[in-house]
Amino acid sequence: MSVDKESLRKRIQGLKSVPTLPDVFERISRLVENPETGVDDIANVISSDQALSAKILRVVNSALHGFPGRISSITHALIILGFDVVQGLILSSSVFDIMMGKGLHGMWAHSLGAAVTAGVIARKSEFPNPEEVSIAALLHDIGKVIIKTELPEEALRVEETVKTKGITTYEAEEEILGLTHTTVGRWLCEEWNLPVKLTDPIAYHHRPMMSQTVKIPTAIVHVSDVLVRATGFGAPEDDIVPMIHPKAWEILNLSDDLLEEMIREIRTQLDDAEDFLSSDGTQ
Amino acid sequence: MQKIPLKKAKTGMKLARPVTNERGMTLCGEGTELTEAIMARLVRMEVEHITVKGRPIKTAGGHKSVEQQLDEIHARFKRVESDPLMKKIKGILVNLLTEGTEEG
Repeated sequence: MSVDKESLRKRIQGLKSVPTLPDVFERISRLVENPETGVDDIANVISSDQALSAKILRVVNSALHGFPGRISSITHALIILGFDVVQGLILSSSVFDIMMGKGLHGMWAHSLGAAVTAGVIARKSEFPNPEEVSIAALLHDIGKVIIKTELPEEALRVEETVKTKGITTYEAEEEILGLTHTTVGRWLCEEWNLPVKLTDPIAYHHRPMMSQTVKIPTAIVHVSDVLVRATGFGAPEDDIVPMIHPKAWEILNLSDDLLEEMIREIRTQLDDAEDFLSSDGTQ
Repeated sequence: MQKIPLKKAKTGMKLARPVTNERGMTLCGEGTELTEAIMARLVRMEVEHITVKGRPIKTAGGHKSVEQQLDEIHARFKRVESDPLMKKIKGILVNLLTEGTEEG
């Protein structure tokens, strides 16, 4: 039995107005389109929402490692990270709210772990914009959140199937819904006009070779999802480590020595992320 | 090694990682043995966590035993055992886990 894809897609089209996505997101999206917009204009809009600013800075300082110091202001974040990353962060703060509201702490931990991991891989593979890849990783399972909020009954059946059959959430979604969180994630990205560098990793993190234009970030998010599962950090619903796609691994061009160094670094950074999660009362 | 809140630190524990401030400057080097004076200094510098050698703090049910964690790794990797890359990754994770116990 599968869900009516068209009706689900229509529901997602209406999601622009969900209260959890702050108004700021749309205001920023409009500002970013205007070439005259300066950093201060955007910083002012975000800073007008203090709770949001605080949340963004918390996510910046926990999910995006690799800065010598802490990022303490929205202006600083915008200068260092760029508009796209901050826009992704606003979205992440909504995803965080939904996950916490629904008690999906393990899923948030998995997302945060994937973001940290993606940052490490991006730096080791010398990808020029590690923060962008981290944000894509932070949002990679956004489709799961939407399935849980929009199709709660089906989501429960997916969870049960994962447990009874010992299969992954992705496989159970295919069986129960006839579509997966990656498709739902892609619809959402299209609906919110997110840049392709976020859309592709979200849409193709299970099938990384499908990306035509952002192959490396998509491969990194795919590998991060697998590696963070491998470490046992967070709770991505099913406890199965899937295989890293050999071609995705190949394009990252990482040697065996680097792999070991990378996993050690990931382990250390995940320990730090765990502190952040526990100090935040989210675990 | 184990990361612990500074308030749980005791004299005689040794740092497994240097303590750094927010700008990345080292405040206290790796291997330093904690004394009352050092701990007081770290408190003044608002350090919240330190990483010490071994696993001196037992958390109430929070930490699983190494055996249990190894079992979980084996279970998680069940599907991908035959893949050389995944086998390598598993090996590294197992090493990391057992290294920690030798230390403690």
